Amino acid sequence: MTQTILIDPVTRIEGHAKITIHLNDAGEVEDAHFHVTQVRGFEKFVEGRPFHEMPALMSRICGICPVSHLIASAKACDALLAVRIPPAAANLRRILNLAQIAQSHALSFFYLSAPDLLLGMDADPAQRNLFGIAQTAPQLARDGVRLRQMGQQIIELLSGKRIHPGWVVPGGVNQALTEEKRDAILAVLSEGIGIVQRTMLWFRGILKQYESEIQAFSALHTLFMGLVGPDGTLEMYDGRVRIADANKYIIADGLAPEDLNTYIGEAVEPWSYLKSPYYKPLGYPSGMYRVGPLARLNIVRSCGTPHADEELGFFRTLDHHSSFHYHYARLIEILYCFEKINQLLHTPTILSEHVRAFAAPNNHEGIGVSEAPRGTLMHHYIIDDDGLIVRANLVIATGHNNMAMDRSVYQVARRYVRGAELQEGMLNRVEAVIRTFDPCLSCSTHAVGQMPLHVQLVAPDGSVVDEIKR
Amino acid sequence: MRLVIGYGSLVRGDDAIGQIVAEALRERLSDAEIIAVTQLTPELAEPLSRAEKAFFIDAAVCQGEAPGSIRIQQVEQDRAGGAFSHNVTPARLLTAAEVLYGSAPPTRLITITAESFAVADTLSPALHAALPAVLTLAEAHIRE
Repeated sequence: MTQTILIDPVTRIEGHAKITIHLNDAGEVEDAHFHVTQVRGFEKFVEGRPFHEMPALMSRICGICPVSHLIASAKACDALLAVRIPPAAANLRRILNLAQIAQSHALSFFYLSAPDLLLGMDADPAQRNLFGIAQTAPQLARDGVRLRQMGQQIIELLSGKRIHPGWVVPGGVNQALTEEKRDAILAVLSEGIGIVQRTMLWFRGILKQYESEIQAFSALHTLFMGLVGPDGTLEMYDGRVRIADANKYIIADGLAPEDLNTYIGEAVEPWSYLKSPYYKPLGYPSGMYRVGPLARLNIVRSCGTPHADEELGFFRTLDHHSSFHYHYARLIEILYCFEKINQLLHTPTILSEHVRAFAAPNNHEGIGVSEAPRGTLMHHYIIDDDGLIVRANLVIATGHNNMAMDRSVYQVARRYVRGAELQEGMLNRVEAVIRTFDPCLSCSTHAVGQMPLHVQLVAPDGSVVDEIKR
Repeated sequence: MRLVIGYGSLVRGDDAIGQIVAEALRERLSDAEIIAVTQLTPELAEPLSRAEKAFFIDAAVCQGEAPGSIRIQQVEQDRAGGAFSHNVTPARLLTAAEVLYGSAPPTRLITITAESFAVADTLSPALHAALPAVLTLAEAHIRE
């Protein structure tokens, strides 16, 4: 008798999703799928709106990474204007993006995944949260809160608001950086670097406890995609697209981000509202790839900052296939963000008053691409002669990872789930592999809400034969 | 030090009242720390832990009450399990202040009855008219 295990909704991710695990007569996993059950309406909502409203509108997609959407959207609008924004404005946007990535990664690592890492995959679900961490390792919990606080402070200092800032506009930013604010940002960076280094030391120490999960999360072999700078270094704001194969050999390089539609296709599957992007030359589904911290660090020559590069050396000794190492990659990127912000704040033009280029629309089509915390983010707009949006298409980082998440669920379920032994811990491992990707389903489809876990074991006749709720 | 945290969306009509009152109190309560935010986030646990008294200000739906009516309630800690990420309640924040920083002040939630949460960057006429009285009441309560 075949059975289906349903994990609905998946917990400790941003948004709604469920997992179904189909068992065969022997109680072994036959197949599994990751379903995104929300509908995103933003691409339709914005039709008919003036293009210059887009950065403000698009940043409303998400309360976690509004800055990422703000930046990709503003870059698409820059392309509509056909302007090259002033160097100071580009660097200020870079700093904002890096602060956003740092605080988002801190939320993912400390709030959402650290409960599993510190307390164990089999710990009481009621304890697997920030409060559980606080009781066992209060400094770790405080460090997570502090890192988030610092990232948000930097965003607020630059843009005036922590969430949904309107400072980034088509053509640049609407206010120059003052000396006072620059010094205030510089003052917190070394503390941030110290916190991340302390956390990495702790995390290295517990990696051995997770050898089974590292191996299980390694069964998936995919391509890796991300932006890199001209010299192949880590690049979060500009750069060109690089794609490497599963063994990290570069198979495509120097691809123009604005041509993304020519090498990335989008498939639709009936079980999910989230599209499944793939690398066109390899077709669907062979063109499955991963984006985000693991992919970025797998494709770069170096990070370009000293502490992050030192850690990159250790990262390269780890199994680069394993999605488990998204966690370590995320910590390296936080380190990189603080170091890079420091470098950028010391550039000679950073306090320049020239921070915005003005123009009327010169193109009917504009594409903006940047790296968001979860991976490459693309906004593509088409406008009419009056500057009103005719069509908008967003390819979101979480969407890029959709196929990889779907197949990861299958790989991990096959390893840990046995129908006759439905246990909380093994189901949490299936969820945990999804959490390594840090999916933001609010971004990829748009919705928010509470996420209790509901697991059902359903017989072919539809009757529920077993159930777990939390 | 008294801490005032006003929260709500500035583009959902009367939901902005928490932030509006907090900002107005900034002028009137020079010895208090004032925070105005769209939503509550875990990072607020740190300033909360440093406060001697804390006050959250939020909009509320209260059937049968006129816009601008004020309710005040004591906030108790909430130690139930569950996620703790980018959207939390005053009770969860109070717990976080205690657990993470070892101190949770006496805290009250001031809710202000709202009329409309429709998309708008202004208050409803009824709540706008009640704003001066709301400010006077909120200030008096926080000064107690």
